[in-house]
Amino acid sequence: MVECTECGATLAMNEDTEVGELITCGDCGADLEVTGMTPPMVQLAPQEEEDWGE
Amino acid sequence: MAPTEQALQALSTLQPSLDVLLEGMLTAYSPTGEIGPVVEQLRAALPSWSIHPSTDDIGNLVATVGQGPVQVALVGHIDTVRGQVPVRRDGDRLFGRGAVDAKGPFAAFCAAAVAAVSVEPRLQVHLIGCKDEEGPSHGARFAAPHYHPHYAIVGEPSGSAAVTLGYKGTIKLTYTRRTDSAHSSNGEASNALDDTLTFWNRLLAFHSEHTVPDSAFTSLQMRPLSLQSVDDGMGMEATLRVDFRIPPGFDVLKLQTFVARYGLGGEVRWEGWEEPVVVEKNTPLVRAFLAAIRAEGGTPTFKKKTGTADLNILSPRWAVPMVAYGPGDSHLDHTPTEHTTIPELTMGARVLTRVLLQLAQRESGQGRARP
Repeated sequence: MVECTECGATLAMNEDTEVGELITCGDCGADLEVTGMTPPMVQLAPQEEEDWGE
Repeated sequence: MAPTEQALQALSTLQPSLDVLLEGMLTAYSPTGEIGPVVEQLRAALPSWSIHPSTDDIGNLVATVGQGPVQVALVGHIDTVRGQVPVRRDGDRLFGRGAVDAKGPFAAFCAAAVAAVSVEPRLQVHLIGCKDEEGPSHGARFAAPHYHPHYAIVGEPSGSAAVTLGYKGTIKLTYTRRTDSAHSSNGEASNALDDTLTFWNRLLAFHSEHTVPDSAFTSLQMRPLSLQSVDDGMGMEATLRVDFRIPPGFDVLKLQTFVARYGLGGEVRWEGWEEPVVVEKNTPLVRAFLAAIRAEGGTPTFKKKTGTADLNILSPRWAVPMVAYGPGDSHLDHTPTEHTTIPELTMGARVLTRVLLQLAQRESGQGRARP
């Protein structure tokens, strides 16, 4: 279990969840990145930026 | 010492060093269609890293490092746009055409492949230095059916802490209108140039209907490439060339139908169609990048770009987890001050090394099986 960094809701983590996985908070809809498993940690997922070039 | 630390140490002790390899690549100026110098330079330099490249039937530089079951394609390009930038160092900065687009990313690919395979026998890394990416992408088109990787990374400058998930599509229009000559005082008769400008104004109206405020990635972008007219006394011919950048989800048939309907009888030719691409971001490959960037002290971001890259070509064909990644600031692409920095180059190679190791570990008890 881990707490959503945006709304504080409790999120369940599956046994096979892995670091770097992106999950969505069912309460507030925030996209979160799993940054640790022991102990479970999440933070707001990377933002998408627009850019030009290749 | 843990395998990751061993691999990163191997990376830091490469001879020649990564920046020296890149400096040699930059010195071997290789605009599209003339990549011979950089191919020869890499064939001479890479054996020092135990990479033994060859060229495939179309002229891409290719090499495979490792013989393990986890196949990762690292697809860069070793051609550049034209315009020689004198190769020089200024502190940590290394200047030269291709420093970011995209010899820097390909040099980082080579270094990371060697470092990761030195400690991880489950890896098999295909290094593909494509030709013609700055042109018609013949190199990537040729390579696509010859590889069946489990994961693929396209080498373009995202910046060492960012991962590129999408590129817009592209298509070019050539519109040609011909009319008989008429006296210029005849206000009733339009000539070919009149019609072409009317057509252009109609295109502008279509374009404005498909523009999303503050979002170039989701907007249709349109830019005139050339406008020419010729009058030989019997008739006038006007030719307009237009470049369109196509956002994901846009139905290009709608554009083509509009042009056919409102083109005032002009001849229309379409060419250079590349589909837009946006890859899935919740994949083992992206997870490995996020973890690797954070492990290197970075804060990861995702990018979607308005240009095109070989990701547009390879992603629909390979249908495996893919991203574009590479050290360097893409705002320096194609500029006369193109340069990278040694810390940026090094961090890119370190992130890539960690990513390769993470992908291999998924094959063992340390990770999950491939999706």
